[in-house]
Amino acid sequence: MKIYNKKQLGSGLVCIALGLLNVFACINTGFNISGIILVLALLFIGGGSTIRSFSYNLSKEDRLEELDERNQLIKLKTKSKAFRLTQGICFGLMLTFLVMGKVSGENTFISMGVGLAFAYTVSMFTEIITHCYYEKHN
Amino acid sequence: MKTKVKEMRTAVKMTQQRLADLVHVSSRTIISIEKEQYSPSLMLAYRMAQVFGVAIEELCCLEENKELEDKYFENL
Repeated sequence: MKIYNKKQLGSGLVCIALGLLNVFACINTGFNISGIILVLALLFIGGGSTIRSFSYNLSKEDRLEELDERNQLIKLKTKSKAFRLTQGICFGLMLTFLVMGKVSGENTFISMGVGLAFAYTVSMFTEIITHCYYEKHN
Repeated sequence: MKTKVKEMRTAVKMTQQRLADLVHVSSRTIISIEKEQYSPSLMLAYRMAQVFGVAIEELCCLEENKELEDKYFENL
């Protein structure tokens, strides 16, 4: 059997492995609805990816979908928008927690605010570094 | 961006899937181009122009789109 999409085979096998690990975890701790759904989903997705990676036609279809310029643009826009939203939410929550901490005098709020401020600063630096990289390479 | 893709595709009785296969994109990309929601890349426009045997200028209504863009920049 020939492998046509190694990346997909890898992700499929990881999904199957996670599914099997969850089965063992469920055997030890007892089965519940969410655990069963997770195991089934992981095995289904993993199995599907593994089967697709062995088929020439299906792998070609997947590769075309991956290379499709509109799909790439959507992926880029989605990631960019998600990053902006996360930055905004982070900033909003940081301000809220810092104000709440100042008003109530509760250190927990201040700590949460500082944690979010750190995350926001990291995101800002990442953005600046990424911008410099693409300014240089494009 | 306005294009004549739908017009030319229907004129030769070609399906969206067939055109998508010929230019190596998904049928959703063709649908979006026809709905003027997505502007094709230069290479994709060239591939489609070759399929229909016309120039890119004609397929992508470049003159018309340029005039629209010029008006937009004038109003900035």
